[in-house]
Amino acid sequence: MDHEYYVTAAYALTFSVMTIVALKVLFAGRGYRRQFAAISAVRRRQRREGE
Amino acid sequence: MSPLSPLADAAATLAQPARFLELAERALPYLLCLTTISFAAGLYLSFSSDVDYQQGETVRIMYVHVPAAWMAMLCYTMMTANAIGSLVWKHPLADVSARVAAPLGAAFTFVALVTGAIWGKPMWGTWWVWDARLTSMFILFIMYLGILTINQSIDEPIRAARVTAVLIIVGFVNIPIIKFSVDWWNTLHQPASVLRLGGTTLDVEFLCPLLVMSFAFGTLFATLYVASIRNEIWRRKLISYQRLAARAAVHREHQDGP
Repeated sequence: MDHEYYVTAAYALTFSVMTIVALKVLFAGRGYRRQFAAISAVRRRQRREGE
Repeated sequence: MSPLSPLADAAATLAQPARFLELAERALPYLLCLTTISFAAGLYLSFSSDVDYQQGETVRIMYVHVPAAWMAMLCYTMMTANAIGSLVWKHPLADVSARVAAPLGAAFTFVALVTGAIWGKPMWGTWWVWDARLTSMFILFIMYLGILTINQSIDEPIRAARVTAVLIIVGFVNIPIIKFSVDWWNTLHQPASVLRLGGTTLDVEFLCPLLVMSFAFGTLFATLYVASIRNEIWRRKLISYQRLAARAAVHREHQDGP
C-alpha cells in the first residue's frame, strides 16, 4: 500500500468524525431552537388570552 | 480593589446562563468563520509543505494526529477545571460545561488513536502496541466513554453532576501520565518534539502547518464547545418548562375536580 493511501485515510477519518460531531451539535441546536419558538408562541397566546 | 477584580467580574457575568446565551449567539458566527479560514489555511499548508526524507508522505498525518491529541488532553483539563467549579462553587454552568465537553473530548481522542494507528502501520510496521503512551491515551478514551455513560445513567441532575465531577477530577491523574509517559518509560512512540523544555526539535517547514492546524482544531473545539453549552442550557430550560406545564396541569385538574 502506497504511503499516500495512509495519509488520505487519516485525513478522511479526521474530517468525517469532526463533520459528524459538528452536524450533531448543529441539529441538536436547531431542534431546541424550534421547540423554544413553539413554546414562546404558545406562551404569548396564553398571555394575550389572559389579558 | 484587586487587579484581578475586573477579570473575576467578567467571569461571574459570563457564568450567568442568560448572559452566556446572549454572548454565544453573537460569538458563534465569528468562531465558525475563524474555524473555516484556519482549516483552509491549515490544509493548504499541510499539503504544500515538503515531505520528510525518511517518512515521506506519511509525515502529513502528524498535522491531524498531534492537534487531535492536544485537543483531547486540553478538553479533559477544561473538564477538570469545570468539575472543580461545579463541586466547590456548585455553579450550574460549570456542570453544564463539564458535561458537554465529554463527547467532544471522546471524538478528539478517537481521532488521535485511529490516526496514530494509521501512521504507525507504515512507520513501525504495526497498527498498535501496548506501550505507555498509546495505552494511557486509550485509557483517556475509555474514561471519556465512562463519564458519558455515568452522566446519562443518573436521572437526578445534582447527583449526576457530583458523581461526574468526582470521576473527572480523579481521572485527571492520567493527563500528566500521557504527557510524560514517553520520558518515564521506554516507548515505541517518539518523545515530545514541540512542547518540551529545550524548545522544539521540529523544522519550521513542519512546525508551521502543525501550528496552523492546531489553531484550526482549537477554534473548532471552541465553536463546538460554545454551541454545545448553549444547547445544554436550552435543553435544561425546556425540561424546566415541561415540568412547570405538568405541574400547572395537575393543579388545574385538582381545581376542576369534585
